[in-house]
Amino acid sequence: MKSKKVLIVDDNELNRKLFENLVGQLYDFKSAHNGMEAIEMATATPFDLILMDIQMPRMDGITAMKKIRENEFGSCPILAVTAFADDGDRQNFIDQGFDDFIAKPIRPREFILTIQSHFKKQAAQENDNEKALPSAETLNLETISQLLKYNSREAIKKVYLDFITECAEAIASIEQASAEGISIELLDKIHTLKGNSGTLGATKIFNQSQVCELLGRQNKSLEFKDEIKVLKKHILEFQEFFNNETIFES
Amino acid sequence: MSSEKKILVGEDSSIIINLTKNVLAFENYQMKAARNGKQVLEMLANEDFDLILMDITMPIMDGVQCTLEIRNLADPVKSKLPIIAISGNAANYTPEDFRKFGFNDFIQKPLDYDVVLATVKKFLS
Repeated sequence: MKSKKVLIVDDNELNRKLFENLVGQLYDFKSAHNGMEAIEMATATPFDLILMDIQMPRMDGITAMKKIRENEFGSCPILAVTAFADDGDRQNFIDQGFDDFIAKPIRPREFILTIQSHFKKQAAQENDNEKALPSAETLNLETISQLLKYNSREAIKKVYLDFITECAEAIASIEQASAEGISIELLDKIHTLKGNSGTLGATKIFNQSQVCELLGRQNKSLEFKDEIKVLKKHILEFQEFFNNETIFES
Repeated sequence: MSSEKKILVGEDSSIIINLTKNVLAFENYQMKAARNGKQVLEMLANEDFDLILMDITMPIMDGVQCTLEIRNLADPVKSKLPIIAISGNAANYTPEDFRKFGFNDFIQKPLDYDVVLATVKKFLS
């Protein structure tokens, strides 16, 4: 299954056929003959990328792009495809609101590479969002405010620093374990980590320690090995997150 | 007066010990900590407490074994102390299981300290 959907907008049938052939090898696509049609299609369903001719009858590509940007599916990359430009006009198109531009006549390889580069950028951004977004999962600030009811900020900070130390020890044990396999000592460490991370609101570490402990106690060493790597990743992420967290600075 | 109440916590994690100490101090409870079941028994032999918070999973002697030994003590007061289980695997047990083990109540990990205080108060007020 092709996972990406591209909208091709061009009034010239020959151009459309050429673009459809190239895009169709890798992605799903739909075609629009002019700006009005493009707006109708792009507001009805979301596309992952739009290739927009500039000079078209009824409505030009710049106006169509701006209209599409205004609606809920309008944040996808929209690329200007135009004969009236060279590299020097790139900034002009970007200033207008396009993400990029491709000059006509197109060079097939470059054409595809440009589209791919935007999908890659998208994927990287989604990745970043995932990293930045679940800060609540990395460290649940609600837990901290609950702890602050009973503890001074300083006392809590000290507890979290202890937890960081414990995390570092856990990582050392995990690294040793990947050489030696599952041991009772490691499982006990993970069990402690589970209780502490849960109580301190380090939700990702908590969930993953739970998975690891269970697999370890069941002696499923192959799965354990994989999941323990994920646990290590979450621990490192927590340490980094904590180092940048300012909640304890008064 | 809660200021006179003394709580013994059997818990191998120093992080939980520190947090719990602060939380209990907030309500003027005194707290001492033992790192395993054996240490709980030793401290209980030398000192009087009003309540025990007992982690289930501890090295050397776990909380279930320790509670069993406390229930078998000759001392009529110490053998009947309220003991609250703290369990990270509470899903594996029913409340009935905890009672059979000799606990008066149980608290789940991850700890919610509102729950911890409410449960402790239930037995000490």
